[in-house]
Amino acid sequence: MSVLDWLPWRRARLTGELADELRAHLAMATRDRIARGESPADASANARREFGNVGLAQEISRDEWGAGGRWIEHLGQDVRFALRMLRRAPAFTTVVIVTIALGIGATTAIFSVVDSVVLKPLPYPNSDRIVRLYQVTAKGERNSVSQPNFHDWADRTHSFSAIALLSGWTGTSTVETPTGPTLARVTPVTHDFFAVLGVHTALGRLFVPEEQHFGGQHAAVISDAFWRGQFGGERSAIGKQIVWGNDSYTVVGVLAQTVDYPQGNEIWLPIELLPPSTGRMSQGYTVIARLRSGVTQGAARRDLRAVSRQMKTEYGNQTAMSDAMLIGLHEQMVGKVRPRLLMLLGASGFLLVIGLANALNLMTTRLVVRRSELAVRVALGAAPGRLVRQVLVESSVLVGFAAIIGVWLAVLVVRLVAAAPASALPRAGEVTVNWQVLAFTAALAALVSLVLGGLTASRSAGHDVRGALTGSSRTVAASGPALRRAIVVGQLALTVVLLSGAALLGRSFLNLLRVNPGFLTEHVAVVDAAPSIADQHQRLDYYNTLIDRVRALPGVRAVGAGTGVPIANSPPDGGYLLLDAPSDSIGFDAWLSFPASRKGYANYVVVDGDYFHALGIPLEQGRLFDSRDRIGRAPLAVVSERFAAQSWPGENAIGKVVAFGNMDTDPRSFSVVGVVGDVHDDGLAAAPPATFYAYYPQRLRTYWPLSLVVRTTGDPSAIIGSIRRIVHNVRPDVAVRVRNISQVVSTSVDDQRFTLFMIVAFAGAALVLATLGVYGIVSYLVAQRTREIGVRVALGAQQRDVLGLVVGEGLRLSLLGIAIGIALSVVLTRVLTAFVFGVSTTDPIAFAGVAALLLLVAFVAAYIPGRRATRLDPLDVLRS
Amino acid sequence: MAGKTPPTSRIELLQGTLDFIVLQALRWGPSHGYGLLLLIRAQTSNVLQVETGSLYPALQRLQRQGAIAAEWGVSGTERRVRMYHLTPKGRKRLAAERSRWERLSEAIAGLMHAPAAEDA
Repeated sequence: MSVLDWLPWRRARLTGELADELRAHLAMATRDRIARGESPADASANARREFGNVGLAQEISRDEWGAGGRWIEHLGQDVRFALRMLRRAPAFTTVVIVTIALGIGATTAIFSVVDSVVLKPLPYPNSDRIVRLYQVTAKGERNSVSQPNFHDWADRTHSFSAIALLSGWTGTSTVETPTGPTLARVTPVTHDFFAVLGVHTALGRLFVPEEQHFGGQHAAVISDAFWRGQFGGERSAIGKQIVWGNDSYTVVGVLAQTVDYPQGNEIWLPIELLPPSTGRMSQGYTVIARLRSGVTQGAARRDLRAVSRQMKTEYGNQTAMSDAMLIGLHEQMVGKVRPRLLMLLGASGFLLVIGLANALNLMTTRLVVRRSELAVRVALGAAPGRLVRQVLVESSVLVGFAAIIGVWLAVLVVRLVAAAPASALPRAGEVTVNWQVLAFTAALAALVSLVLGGLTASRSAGHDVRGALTGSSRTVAASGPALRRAIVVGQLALTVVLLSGAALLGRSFLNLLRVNPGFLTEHVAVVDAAPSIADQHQRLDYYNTLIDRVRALPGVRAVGAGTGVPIANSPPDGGYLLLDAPSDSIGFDAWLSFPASRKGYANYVVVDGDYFHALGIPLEQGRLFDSRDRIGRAPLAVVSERFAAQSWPGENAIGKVVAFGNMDTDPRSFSVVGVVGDVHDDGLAAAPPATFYAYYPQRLRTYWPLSLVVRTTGDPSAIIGSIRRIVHNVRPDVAVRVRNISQVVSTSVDDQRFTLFMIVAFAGAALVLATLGVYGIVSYLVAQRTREIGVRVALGAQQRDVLGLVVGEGLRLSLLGIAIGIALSVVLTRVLTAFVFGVSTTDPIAFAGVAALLLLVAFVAAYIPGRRATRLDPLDVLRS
Repeated sequence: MAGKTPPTSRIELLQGTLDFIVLQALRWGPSHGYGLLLLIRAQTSNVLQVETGSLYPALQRLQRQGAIAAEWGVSGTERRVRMYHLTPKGRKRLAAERSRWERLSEAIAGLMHAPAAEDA
């Protein structure tokens, strides 16, 4: 015999054998007695008497098989019994399971996200040692890094085993692969980049020194996704050529699928192949590093800051860096979403508690119904422990089903989340329901069933058996109606908190959408079609040909081009100087000598064609660029209102002179000819930045590719095909991406939408549960007071009085719950401060709305059982 | 389960004694439970009170401990019965218990026959 005999089916066989054996024993004893002369009837009876209690002998014998087996056997009985009981009450079972499944599903889904995004380290070895480094300005602002500063950091710090610089540009550019032109994200990186991440190629190799100096052999490493998409996942991809800019690069390696830094990047190139950027002010690079083993972040930070301050004293005005800082890369990537996710996790926990409260009320109500059954079982000798266990098993079975459905719900939700763009959630693609999450859910379910079963059992204990058996409805014990009321009040209070959160975030979202973005968000197509043309004039021709041909399309009202399109493509930004008179030779020395009051910082957009008309950016003052300003004349500029206000407060901006020299190595200054409206370029929630517009024909050296903006009379998707054909006819080697600006703007509020969607779903579920809760308690109270109501009606109470009695009770509870909930919300919604926009976290309108909604719902939930109470026939009630 | 014989003529079994008796009885060869009962009664002249309610648990216990094993067989009267037999482990245990019992009964006999003077 072994532990295996605890298995129920083996035990069943053993039990059968034992019964056979004992039967044989009795048969032999009877036969012997008959042989001794007893009558068959006496023999059988005496054999049995001599044997004693067969059942007991069997039971004790089976005890010898070990307690574990018996425990499992009883458990099996309990589970079978529980299933039978639950099948007999399908409505009760369904409601309890769904109620808890919602909470478990929500909590599991959000925990999956928290686990994958926040808790799970980045998928690199010892990823806690990877840090991101920033320059810090005198004002304490965190900035990107310039190449010379990076080299000094690399030479002078001692805390890093590897430190790397990469391009901070996150846009896409045209890459030609053997399958044709495509838009890809390309990031040039320094030689230590892969050492910082601690990754290797899955196929091929990383860069070698011959590829890591200016003029060296051109090589590229590609992402797993790019390899599959462009090379069909063939090993022969190694050695193939891809063209970027004007150069051809040999694919030397494919990275493992897990490598995703910068997020969404597809091609890595040695930055050393490109001309070095020597300006100490030319920021725009990202620096990451790996801490030497044994070096803490704090120690590394002290080291970096000491080096950076020393650099400031050496370089003075040549660098905008006064200090430096570093943070963990994981923290840098997810730090912003963590509070949002934890808030959602808390909200899902609320939903779970609300569901649990509902289930608890239903379970106890059911126990009251089953009092006679339980009492009979006690009278027949069931130990109280066995009854408690029966309740625990029932709750476990319910919660078990609920957990299965909850996990299924969570898998559905997580599938949606995993498809979310990085704009809504960083590392979204990594989100899965994994084993850790399932373990969490299992633990959660165990806790829930313990709480549910434990609380139910504790309230079922101490039932008066005799009362229940002899009894009638008259003696229905007031088994804790106070507690039941408290549960409903608590449930309502928590629902108010969830609803308030949803209301606040909903109002914020509406406010966000109501923000005037300063440009048209409808009927505009954004066309990315950057060519690999080195010659500046040829490039201008290319754009002008495109603009002319697209303008000729039917349904097109205006066409322009720009190095930035609000929200869709962020423009470069940089520092500028305010001059007194035009100059042709503003150099770096001027930057050093100018006082801070004559310097500023702004977005720099180079535009062509009818850029402002196409985007609907209004002219406020002066004039826009026109074709008379083309090549040869002194550069002109249009500035945004905010730019004018921050540069020349209270003065007329027209005719003022600005130098933006470090953007394109063109030393000529600009004269301002017009002022246009502000645009919300950094997202709807952020203040519009100061923006400076230059005219492309006058600033041909611009590094950045232009995007076309096409304003149409109807839906821009109608002409997407035509635009693609035009670009293909002009330059077959250019990849085209056409976006509808309304979608771009909509995507820009993805993270707010994601949070709002989740919290509204939770709040909606909570509202349904709370309604059920109120309905349940009022029905229960009606059932309890049936006799009282009957007596009242018999004594002449009107329907109205009865209704008032019942509904009034429900509403009193609701009001109490709502009041507590509002008080709780005022405290708790403070965690939303960072997520709301244009609304206070104690917004009275939101709270009043929530209170009114919940009161209405509570009224309906109380009215239905109340109506039923008024239809009671006093005679029936009193006779029963 | 009160027996019919007056209590004084029967001896309640000491804890663990039943196991020893069962093993000792099985020394004669395989037997079913009812046969064991008869055998024990016959060999102890009905002095030892072996309850059926204790015999079967003891059989299960000894099986679990590996001292005896059982298989289904057919009795002399063509009845399907469960036959128990000693395993090698059971024989070893029986030998050990035998010597323990012998020493114990010697010791008790010594006490019983000690000079009465020492009692005082």
